[in-house]
Amino acid sequence: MDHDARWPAGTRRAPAGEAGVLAAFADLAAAGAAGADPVELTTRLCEHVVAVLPVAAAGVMVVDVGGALRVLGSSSTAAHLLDLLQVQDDAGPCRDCCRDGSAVTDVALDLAAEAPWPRFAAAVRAEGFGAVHALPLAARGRTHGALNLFAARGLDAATLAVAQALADATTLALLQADPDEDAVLVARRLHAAVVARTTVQQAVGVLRTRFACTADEALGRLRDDAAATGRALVDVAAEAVRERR
Amino acid sequence: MSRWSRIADLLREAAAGVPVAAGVAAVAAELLGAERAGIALLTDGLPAGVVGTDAVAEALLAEEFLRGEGPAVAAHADGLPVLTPDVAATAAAWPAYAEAAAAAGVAAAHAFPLRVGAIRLGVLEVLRDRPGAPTPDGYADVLVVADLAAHALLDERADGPGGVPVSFVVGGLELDLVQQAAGMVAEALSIGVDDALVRIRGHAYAEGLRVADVGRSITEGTLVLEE
Repeated sequence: MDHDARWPAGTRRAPAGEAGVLAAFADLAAAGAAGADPVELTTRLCEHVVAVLPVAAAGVMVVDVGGALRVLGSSSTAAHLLDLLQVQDDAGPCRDCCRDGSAVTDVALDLAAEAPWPRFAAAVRAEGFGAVHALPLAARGRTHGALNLFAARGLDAATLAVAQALADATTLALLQADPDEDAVLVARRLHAAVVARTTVQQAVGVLRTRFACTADEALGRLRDDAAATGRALVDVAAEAVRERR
Repeated sequence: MSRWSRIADLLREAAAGVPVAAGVAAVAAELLGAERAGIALLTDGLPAGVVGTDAVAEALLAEEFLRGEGPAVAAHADGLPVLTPDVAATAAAWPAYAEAAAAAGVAAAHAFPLRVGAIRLGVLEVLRDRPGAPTPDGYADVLVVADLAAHALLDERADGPGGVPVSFVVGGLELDLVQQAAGMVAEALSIGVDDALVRIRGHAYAEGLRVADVGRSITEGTLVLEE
């Protein structure tokens, strides 16, 4: 897939301008206030950064209660697979970002042999991306996860600042369910998100067979159904799985 | 060492020679500093059996599902953990449960659903003689126990190698594909996703393959499980 062709610099949505960025902030805040689950929130974050910034694909990873990395939301199957590769190999910028809590930028993928993660770098280039960045999802001194950005070329500081601000807004929405939220509640919320992600995968499988479609199309159907009926993605997915019992 | 592997080791030791559920209950009680714990196994949402560290835990858990109220019943219904640091304070919401718990000398009860995505296999309930909430570390430990237990219970049904699986925690890629494959098999064979997951595991063990590889073959369309 050639993302350069789909995302020529400076055209289509990049830059989307202040209105698009503000709308993204407003949407994330509203979703958090409405109690959207973490899978929903992180998927929205990924979709927003792709829509308003010169970013071709995005994914979110979180640290689960056991200390393992889990992929939560992504803007596309390509981003999802690249994030899963980092979990599988325990190597990659998003994994480093989750572990160290600091942003990973300016990754020179054209020097794959010298890159810190040669296998990941090769996979990123095979998907048609030229640059990758990882920004922390952190609050109150703890790193809960990271946002991975895949782009045709390296992002400038202004773009990264907007992406970090959107990531911060998402982190606050993730943690704002209760003002007195403590470590137990954060653990519970992230754990519930991992279970939700599993439910969504099961539902994607059911719909793939039922409609003889791809995983992306199956996920699209679930999301459309959720949007049309005003329900959470995970509830729609659970219903699709329950019909099978 | 990650929490995952540390707890998997504990469970492996505890479950050596005994059914998975019994080992899980013992480890969960220990991790939360509780006197006892039990597991209610559920089939189609109905209790199919109760296993505990002692008769008190088993009786209270059975009573809970019989009366249809209490933390374990709520955890099963919501699919989320339910913490009850002070059982006496729940007398208004769950009068029968509060009475039964008090009679059994139980002051705090914390219930954790055993789930694999939309599949609900049962509930783990940890019972303490003194009131109190779990510590953040203890709480995180038991969430991991519940996850490992759910997968171990599926393995038991699939005539797997037994013991506690840890392979799924290191292969996020593979876990996702296995879950998606289970959905595909369920729809194709008109069975539940839980039974589909059991079949995928059973096929892997029978053929000497990794569960993850069977899942990948199914999602790529190169393997179709027949009825």
